[in-house]
Amino acid sequence: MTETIAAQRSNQPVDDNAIRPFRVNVPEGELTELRRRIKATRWPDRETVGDATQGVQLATTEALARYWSTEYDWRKAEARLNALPQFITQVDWARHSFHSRSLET
Amino acid sequence: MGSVRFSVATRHSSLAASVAALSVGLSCVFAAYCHAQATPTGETTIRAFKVEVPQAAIDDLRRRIAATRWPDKETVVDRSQGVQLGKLQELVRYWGSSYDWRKAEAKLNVLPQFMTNIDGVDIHFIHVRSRHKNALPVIITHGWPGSIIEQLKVIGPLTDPTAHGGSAEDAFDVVIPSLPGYGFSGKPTVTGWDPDRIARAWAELMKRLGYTRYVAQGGDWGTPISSAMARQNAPGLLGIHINLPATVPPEVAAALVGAASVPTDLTDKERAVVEALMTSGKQGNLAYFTMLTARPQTVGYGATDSPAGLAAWILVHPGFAQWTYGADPDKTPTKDDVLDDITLYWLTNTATSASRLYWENGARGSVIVAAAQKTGEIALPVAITVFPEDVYRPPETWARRAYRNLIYFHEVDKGGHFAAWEQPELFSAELRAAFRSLRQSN
Repeated sequence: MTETIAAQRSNQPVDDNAIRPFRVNVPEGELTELRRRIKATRWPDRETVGDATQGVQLATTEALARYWSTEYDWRKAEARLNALPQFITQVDWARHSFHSRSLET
Repeated sequence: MGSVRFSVATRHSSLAASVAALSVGLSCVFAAYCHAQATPTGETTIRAFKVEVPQAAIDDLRRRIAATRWPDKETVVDRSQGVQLGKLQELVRYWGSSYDWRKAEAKLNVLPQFMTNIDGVDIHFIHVRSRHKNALPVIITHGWPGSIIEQLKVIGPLTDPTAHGGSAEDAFDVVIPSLPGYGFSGKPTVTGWDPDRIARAWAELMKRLGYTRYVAQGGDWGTPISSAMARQNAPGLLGIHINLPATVPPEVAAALVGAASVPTDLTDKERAVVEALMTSGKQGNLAYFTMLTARPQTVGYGATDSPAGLAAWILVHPGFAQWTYGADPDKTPTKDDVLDDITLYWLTNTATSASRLYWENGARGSVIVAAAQKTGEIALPVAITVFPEDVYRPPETWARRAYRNLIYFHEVDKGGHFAAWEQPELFSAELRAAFRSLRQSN
């Protein structure tokens, strides 16, 4: 059995102590919505200095956001995560943990 | 005075409703900002000003409010993790449906408003003359996260005292400017707009209005700005009244930052103030101050893009700790009052430019520490009213040490950080009492 983020969000009863395999699979609608929000960003005016002493500079943030909403591909991050054995279980309040066994043991 | 009226609606009547067009158009929504780009430095005319926000900007705000993506609920039952989700959602839901910015515009536009370029930045101000002769001119300065909206309820009592329990001899002419980077004033594009520079601009403003004898008033940032005017001996300035005085003495300031132990010779009242300040600090009440001082641009991105984010950030100020979100409609500021203030920040896109005042103040440090604010250099008369629910309650002993020419000190029984907003009648009565001796001696 494999759970995804979508399944995790449902309120289906689960065996509290079970350790279940976990995979990340964000619905495409959420990624589309993220890109839409990035493109709709309302920006502040530019900082009054020539460096980052007032915080991340406007042009830097704008360039990053532009890349984020166009070329950036979350699916690659998902693929990297899903290449790893991931599990989910309920431990009091924490619900998600990575576990990567060393090949040498 | 010039009589040019800048009708935003006509200048930008073709503003497209698309987000892309808005993001460009909004930077020039206000005559203040548009004109700042066109006014040559050295221009001293005073132009009439009206607020007319394009409907597209209001529609965009409502659309963004409706599209808010909410976080999950805080894990505590109080505001110790910040503004609580349930309360903010209720406020924002009202903001996006029943709240009407046009009422705020109407309130502002019945007042005489003007714009003048000082030191390269357009300064917006309300200017109401009293009908009484010999009215004393006062320039009242707001702070963060406030605005001219905070001061609207004191205009009547100050300019028309006989209608508010005062006498004609108590009348004031009232000048209420928007700080550079705030509200309808222009946004500085260069560094250097610290309280000292704003103080010099205010002196120039009063000079342009022809005032040769006047007083200054401020709480929050209005205190360091009014105090700087006094320190600079602004021509014509008779004295100041402040309601967030910089009184903390050096040995206590050292103790507050952990550089020394708390002095052992404090009075009970002084000790109580120190303990309250330490408790407040431990509760994180100064976190916003630290963040705005260090990284105003970073703070600005979220507050600029998200109405709910802006509201939550503004309400983080400890001055709102006792505010009940308008639960009692007779208590001021009302829900609409606070939303007028938040909406003003939104529509003028000033969340970031306003924050830069903290960065500009940066090295000077705390606004309540006497040495940091160089109170020892003030020779002009200083009057103080302590409002008991303000972020701290300075004892008179410290005030007398900090201000060598303290002519008035009064701790009243109600009111907090936004004194003019919360207790407009009491605030006005305090100004009358505080400045009475300066009228007589001049």
